[in-house]
Amino acid sequence: MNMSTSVSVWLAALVTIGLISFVFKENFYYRIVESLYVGVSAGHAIVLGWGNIRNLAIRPLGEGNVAVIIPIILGLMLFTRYFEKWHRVSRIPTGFLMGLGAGLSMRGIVGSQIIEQIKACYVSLNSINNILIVVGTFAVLSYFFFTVEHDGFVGKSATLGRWFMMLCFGAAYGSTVTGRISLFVGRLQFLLGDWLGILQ
Amino acid sequence: MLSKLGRIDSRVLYLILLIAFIVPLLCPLGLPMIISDEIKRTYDLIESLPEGSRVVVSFDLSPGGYDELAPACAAVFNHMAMKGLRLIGMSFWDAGPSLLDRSLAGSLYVDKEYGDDYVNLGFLAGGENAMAAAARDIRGAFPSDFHDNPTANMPIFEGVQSLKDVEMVIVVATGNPGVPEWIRQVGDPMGVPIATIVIAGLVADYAPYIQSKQLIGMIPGLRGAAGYESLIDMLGRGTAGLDAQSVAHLMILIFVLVGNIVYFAERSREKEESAKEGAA
Repeated sequence: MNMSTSVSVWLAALVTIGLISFVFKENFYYRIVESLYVGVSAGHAIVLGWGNIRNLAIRPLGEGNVAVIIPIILGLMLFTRYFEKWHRVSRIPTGFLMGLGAGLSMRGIVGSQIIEQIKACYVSLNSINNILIVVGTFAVLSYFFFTVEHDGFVGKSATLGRWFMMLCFGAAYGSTVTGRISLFVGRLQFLLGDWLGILQ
Repeated sequence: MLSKLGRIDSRVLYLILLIAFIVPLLCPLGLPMIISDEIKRTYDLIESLPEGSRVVVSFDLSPGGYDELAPACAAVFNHMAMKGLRLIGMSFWDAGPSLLDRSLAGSLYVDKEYGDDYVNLGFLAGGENAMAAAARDIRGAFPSDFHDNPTANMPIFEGVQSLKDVEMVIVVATGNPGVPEWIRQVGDPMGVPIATIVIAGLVADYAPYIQSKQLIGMIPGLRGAAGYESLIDMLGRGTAGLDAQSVAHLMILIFVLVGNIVYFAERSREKEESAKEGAA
């Protein structure tokens, strides 16, 4: 057994134990560690945000790139929301950001998440997997088809679609459990290996 | 007996689970492992790239998901370093760059030349918009790296203007912005192959992209790490942790099964009792 002498490893171990202590009972130690996590995350985000402002705005401006004045002004306009008289001005850069984001996403969504996914359903019905893909797609789409009553063939198809979705939710939930277990295994490997030195 | 099981303190279950985790970690069982096609395809793509090829690694993850993905990242980075591939790291999540530094320090890249064989460009705010900007002009979006070195004269960027000029993108993801945004902004419009190292909770979400071949490969969490370690013949924490994960899964299944048996037995007993009371 070769216990770590690193301050950072000890700190990480004590914080980990503090967070895990919640499963026993909510306690003072847990609340301190939780607040510490929130504070450190916020501080980290501010430092990195400042790095972005320095690299993409202040530094290029200092090098004579006057074009960055436009995004700098738009960025500063966002702060007008803190002044009652001028708060409407902040809607201009917000609208710009929304329009830009929506435009970029729409361009990609139509091609990547609609057309390509429809193309992926053009498969030969020569295997159980392929049959399941085609039947599952039609059944789930029919569940969300509200123009006609869900009875007869459409009703049966919609019910089948609901079953497919239930299976999908089950798979997603199972995957989430697996993920949480993986996280805990990682923390245990850290505690038993890096900190206590029991694992090699 | 059954009613006692139904009222068992959840902390007892936590203790049993903790023992189920620790015992296989201390005494590995060597349980069999299946390597999925998605893991194999990622391995094959990296294996097929010629020495000196540039691979973008986007570290879009939170510290909360890092432990699950760290073994897989170590395995993939070691494979890339052994193949002589050059790694361009970047992140669209604020915690990503620090975690990428940590991951690189634990891989074979630690012995390589910074700026020539690998680089950590740091964090760029703006989500998908920032991704699109980096895709068009990588050095314009990242004029300096995470350690404040200017990127203009870094040898790793010779001949690279946009992400069209790289051979592959690996997205290490715990959420959005992540894989769908990379597919929308780089994979589909630029034709760059994308693989992902992803938390197990997102596997079901991203499976359609595998089916449509918009994602070339997927390495899911600890299971993916164990599979990849086996492929590169460098067993590490993924393989060591897989036994613990499997035993924990088994315990959870037993808990669910016992919980359901108790529930239905109790319900049946209550029905019988109310039927008797009704008859009386």
